Parts: sequence; structure tokens; C-alpha cells
Amino acid sequence: MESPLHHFELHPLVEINFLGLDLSINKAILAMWAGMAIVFFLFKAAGRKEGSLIPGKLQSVLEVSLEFIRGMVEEFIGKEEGKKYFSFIATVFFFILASNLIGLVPGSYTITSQLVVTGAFAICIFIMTLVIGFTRHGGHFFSILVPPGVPKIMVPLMVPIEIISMIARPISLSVRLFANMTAGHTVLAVLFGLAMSASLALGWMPFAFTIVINGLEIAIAFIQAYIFTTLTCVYIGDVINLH
Amino acid sequence: MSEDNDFRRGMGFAFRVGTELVVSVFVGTTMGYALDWFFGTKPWFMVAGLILGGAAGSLMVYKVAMHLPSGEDEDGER
Amino acid sequence: MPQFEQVGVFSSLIFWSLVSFAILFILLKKYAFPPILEALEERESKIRTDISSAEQLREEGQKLKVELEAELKKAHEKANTIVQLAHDEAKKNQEKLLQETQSKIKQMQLEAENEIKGSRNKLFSEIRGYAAELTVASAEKFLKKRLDDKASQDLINESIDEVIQSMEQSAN
Repeated sequence: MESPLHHFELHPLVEINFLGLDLSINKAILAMWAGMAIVFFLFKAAGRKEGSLIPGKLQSVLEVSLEFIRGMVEEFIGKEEGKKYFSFIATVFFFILASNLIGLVPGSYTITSQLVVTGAFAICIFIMTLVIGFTRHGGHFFSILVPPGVPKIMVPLMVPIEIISMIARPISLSVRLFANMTAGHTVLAVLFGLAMSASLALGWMPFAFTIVINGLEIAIAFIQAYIFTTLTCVYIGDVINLH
Repeated sequence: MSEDNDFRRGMGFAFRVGTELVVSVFVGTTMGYALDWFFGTKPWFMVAGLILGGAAGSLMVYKVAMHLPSGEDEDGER
Repeated sequence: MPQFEQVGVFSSLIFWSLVSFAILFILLKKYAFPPILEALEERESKIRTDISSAEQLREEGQKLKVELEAELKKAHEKANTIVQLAHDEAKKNQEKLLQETQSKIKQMQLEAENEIKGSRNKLFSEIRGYAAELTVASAEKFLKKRLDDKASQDLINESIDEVIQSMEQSAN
């Protein structure tokens, strides 16, 4: 039996080399594009109906989700400030959700199970929060390192703690998503491998498990997308509202 | 997203807090290790980093838990 | 784990995921979100205006109801007064009638009493007349018979004397 982690390996399908960088297109990227395309066309289809105030089924589902994201943005960032970041947050949510879900289709790939990808997103968001913080508050932004209501003697202790938790943010953000996606897919791969290798008399058992775990994985895909998005909101909100 | 609001919050809290705690300790320790390597003061910064990382993780958990709307445990206490 | 060992694919994964994300972000922000958000906003505002207009209508209805109720009450009162008036009138009429009847009865009674009294008096006077006549007749007869006696003659003389005496006395 091959390693259950084998299916995380990627092989270039279209070789592209640009200035010495390997930018080949592989399965993960194709799967991601498929997810993106689905997201985009779902929204396009939902938004097409003009003039009618009564939404269709698809439209109402997407509207509920957008409403939900808007509520999240308003809660963590603020009503007026949040409008600027709404599109970004919503894109983050649907991008991650689509990537998570498309990976559950047998034979495709979850790009969020690559730590470099989730790490790249987390670091980009981290840098974005720093940029927002510095442009909004200038030098005053450093006060984020000292929580309010801390006695003066504690400041030398609190600053390293706050630095650690600041740095821990993007890492935990990326590791959480990566670990959940990898774990789920590994379990699925193991069960599926068992189902394939066992005889038909016993093979249905792991196969039934595969279906159950798949259902669980769908829930986890939603929850992880939700957590990633919420934390992005929280981090942006923290640097905007500074305590 | 049709899940119950409290359930979703609870799940988010659980998933969030676990990794945050571990990662905080890990980051603290790694930073201490790096400082040790830089200054050549072998275990001391790492030990401090471990403790501070634990503190940071606990603080984070505390903050998140304080932010959680407590419906069942204590009435309206935030 | 291939995610850590396959260093060769990292560059393409990072590059394409970030670029794709940026493209998706721009596409969604430009084309997909605005119509849906607009529809949401529009619906929200419509619902808000609907609710407020419904509220207004309700208030108007309430006002109308109060007015109608007041009017109804007034009408009720009016009807009540009319009934009361009629009732009073009827009572007055009845009383008047009763009084009239009573007075008539009284008068009739009085008349009857008077009549009875008159007829009784007449009867008495008739009876008295008969009695007087009878007495006079009997007395005449009695006297005629008695005056023939001597003693009676003396007695009469004596009484005549007495009368003369008393007349003389009174003449003095």
C-alpha cells in the first residue's frame, strides 16, 4: 500500500519557467482555479436577476452568507471602517471555502493543505495589518504592544509577550488551516486506501466511514474558512481600533 | 452557515484556542532559541521565551474567552 | 510529508495562489458583489419603508377607530337621552292622567256625598214638618178638650196675670 500522504505530492502539468522561478501549473492550482471559477459564476448567476426584489434560492443563500460576513466585519472592524474591507474579507472567505470544498471531490487537490500557501496568505494579511496600523496611527501604533491598564513595572514583561502573540498570529492562522485540511484529507486517503485494498466483503466498512468522514470534512471546511475569516477580521480590527 | 450561532462560535473558539496556545509557546521558544544562537547564551533566552510564550498563549486564550458571550455559565458577565 | 519536502513546487504554489486570489478579489469586487449588495440594500430599505408605512397605516387605523368609537358613544348617549326623554314624558302623562282621574273621582265622590246629604236634609225637614203638623194638630185637639175645665180656666187666668205682671214690671 502506498503512503497515505502520497496524494499530497504535486507534479507539474504545464512547465513554466519565469526568470529562473518554477511557475509550473500543477493539479493544486487547477483545482484552485476550478473552485474560484465556481465561486465567481455562482455570484454572477445570483446577481444577474434585475428588478426583482424576491431572491431566488441560490441568490438568497449567497445573500445570507454575504450578510453573515458583513455582520462579522461590522462586529470586529466597525460599521463604517468595515465597508472598506468587506470585499477583501468576503473574498478570503469564499476563496478558502471553495479551496477546502473542491479538495473533497475525489481526485482533486486542496491547495489549503499546503502550508506554504496558507502561510503566504497569513503573512500577507499580517503585513497588511501592519501597513494599515502604521498608516492609520503612525508611531502611536507601537502602543498595541502595551495593553491598556497594565502597570508600568509590567511593561518590560508585557512587550515581549505581546510581540510573541503578534508573531504567533499569522503562524497559528496558517498552521491551523493547513493542519485541519491535511489531517482530514489524510484520514480520507487512508480510509479510501483501505476500502480499495480490502476484499469486497469487508471493504464496505471503511467505505461507509469515508462517507461519514466526508460529511465531517464538509463541516470542517466551513468552520475553518469561518475561523480564518473571523481571525482576519479580528486582526484588522485590532490594528484599526487599537484596544 | 445554517449552523446555530452559538455552536459556530463554540467551534471557532475551540479550534482557535488550541492552536493559538501551542503556537504561542512554539514562537516564544523559537525566538528565545534564535536570541541564544545570536548572543551565545545557550539555554537562558530559550527558557525565558518558553515561559513568555506560555504567558502569551494563556493571555490570548483569556482574552478570547472574555470576548465570548457567555450565555449559559454566568448571566451576562462579559 | 510532501508539503514540506517538495520544495520545488513552493514557488509556483505561492505565486499562483496569490495571483489567483488577487484576480478573484478584483473580479468579485467589480462584478459579483455590487449587484447582490445592491439588491440586499434595496430590499432592506424596501422592508424598512414597508414597515414604517404599515406602522403609519396602523396608527391611522387606530385613530379612526378611536374616532368611530367616540362617535358611537355619542350616538349611544343621544339615543339614551331620547329614550329617557320619552320615558319622562310618558311618566308625566301617566301621572297627569292619574291625577286627573283621581280628582274626578274625588269630585264625583264629593258630589255624591252632597247629594246624599241634601236628600237626607230634605228628608229630615219633611219629617220635621210632618212631626210639627202632627204635634200642632194633636196639641190643638188636646187643648180644645182641656179648656172646657174650670181648673184649667183658672190656670190660664193666672198665667195671663203673671204675664201682665211681668209686662208691667218690665214697663217700669
